[in-house]
Amino acid sequence: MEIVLETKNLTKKFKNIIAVDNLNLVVYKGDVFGFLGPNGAGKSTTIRMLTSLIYPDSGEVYLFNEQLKPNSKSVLRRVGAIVESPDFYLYLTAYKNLEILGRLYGITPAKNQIMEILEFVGLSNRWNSKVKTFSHGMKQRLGIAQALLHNPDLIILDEPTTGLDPQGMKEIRQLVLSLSKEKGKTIFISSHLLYEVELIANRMIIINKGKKIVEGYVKELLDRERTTYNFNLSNLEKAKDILISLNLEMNKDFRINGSDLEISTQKISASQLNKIFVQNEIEVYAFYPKRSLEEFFLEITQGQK
Amino acid sequence: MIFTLLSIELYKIFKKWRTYIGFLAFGVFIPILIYGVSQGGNHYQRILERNLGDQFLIVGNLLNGWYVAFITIQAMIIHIPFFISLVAGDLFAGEGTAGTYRMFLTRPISRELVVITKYLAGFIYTLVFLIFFALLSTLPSIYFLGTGDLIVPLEKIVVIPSSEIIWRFLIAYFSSFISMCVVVSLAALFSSLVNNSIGPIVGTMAVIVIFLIIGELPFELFEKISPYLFTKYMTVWLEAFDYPIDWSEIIKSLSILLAHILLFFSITLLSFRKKDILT
Repeated sequence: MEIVLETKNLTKKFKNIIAVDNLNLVVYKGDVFGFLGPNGAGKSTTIRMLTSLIYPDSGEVYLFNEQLKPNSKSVLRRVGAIVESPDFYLYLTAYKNLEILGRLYGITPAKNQIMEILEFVGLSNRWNSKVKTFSHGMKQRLGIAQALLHNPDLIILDEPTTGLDPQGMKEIRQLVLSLSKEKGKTIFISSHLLYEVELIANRMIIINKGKKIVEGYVKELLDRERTTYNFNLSNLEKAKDILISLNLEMNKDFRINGSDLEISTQKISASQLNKIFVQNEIEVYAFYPKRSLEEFFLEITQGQK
Repeated sequence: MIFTLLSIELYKIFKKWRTYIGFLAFGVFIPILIYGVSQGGNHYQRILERNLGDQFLIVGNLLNGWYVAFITIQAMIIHIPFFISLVAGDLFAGEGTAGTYRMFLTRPISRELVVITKYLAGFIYTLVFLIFFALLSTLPSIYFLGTGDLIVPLEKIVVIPSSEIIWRFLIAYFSSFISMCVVVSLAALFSSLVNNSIGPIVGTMAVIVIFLIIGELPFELFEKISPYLFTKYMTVWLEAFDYPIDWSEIIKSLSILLAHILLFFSITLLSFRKKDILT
């Protein structure tokens, strides 16, 4: 697989605080890569290093197998980015902002090109309005527009749904998905909202205190975490006896958690257990995977504190 | 790319309201001055004639258009630096305040080029402003008050014949431009270090005012310091109204001012290329 973005031992300190600590990550072509971590984990610092806004104390950033250096930024032509909230020249119109920001990539965007992008992000009717009249959501969409204007291969989005209402968040997610599926872009998206990443990313990394906690395919990480199930049953004692008879160990393979039976084993599947309980006349009111990715995230990041 | 960046910088400067404060201020003040001189000038002329009459034979109109232009050029000491620092102090810090560094510097452009074009844009703004100022302070005043010899009442009284006035004003305005470029450079340097333009504007004016005061204090210690203060050389345009003109002094002053521009530019370049953009 073609590597689009790679960091090697990326480290950044601010005085005595290590914001990013020997971070290694790899993003492949076509990925929607979720970059997760709680507030203050070092996500924005990392993204600023990926986009040359700040320089690492040590370690390297490779974009399209080319090292990003202070005096060698030409590779940024292939990158479009929103770093934190997108800010524009408020005294200029949306159109003029895009024209200026496009020219900084060395292109002179044609009017129809700018209008197409504005249409794509749903701002074509406000092309001639000054940005100071825009809402936060409109600025976010304009931010995506400026990131797409030069048709980049890699799009870096730093918490693009922050401050948006649920409808706005949904629109941005759909926009990201269409960029990935319809336009074939590689997307690096940071967020502290796990469900957001679950919905759109195929691979992800979780960092905390500047360090990588886990990296991998979202589906695999979710499946791994979904080996723990909770059963809400009519008769816990009877269920416990059945499990013991199946050679499952109390407090290892299962435990009673309040009114629930919590089962964490790969010896038997949840659906088989459900069948057994029903056959033994135990009513199963509910059974569900105990941990979502969000709980997993909270557990591992809080475990770091 | 340099021309693209420069045109963008100029576009941004001339799209901001603050850019026109200086134009507006002088656009209002100079016509008032001309009107005031034309209305109450006779009394002032009589005072001048009474004071100078013992040494000079005065013929013609002392309070002519050139005299008004000479009065207004005194604004180069404090007023024009203030209006220029309003714009130059915002060159870098304005991007920090607005958060647009994050848009601007994630593009494939070198920071060195950013510094160069911002400085050039500051110089071009200054040039445009000074041309406006020069035209406004000469053409209407000549039209309404006429021409004649120029009396320069400074440390000594110098009478400049009308045949020499135009090129002397040209030298004065050119020297002023170099002086004001030092102001641009200093304000831009301060601007590159912070993310709010108020600091660079106040800082630049504070440096200029304090240096001017120190340079004027008649004490031995300050007299020793004075040659090392760039403000001493910023009034080089006054040499254009001396008789005879001390060309070596003008060249020396302009060289020192250019050296300061280079110094401030170099410091900006060094600090900005390593600056972490955290806004």
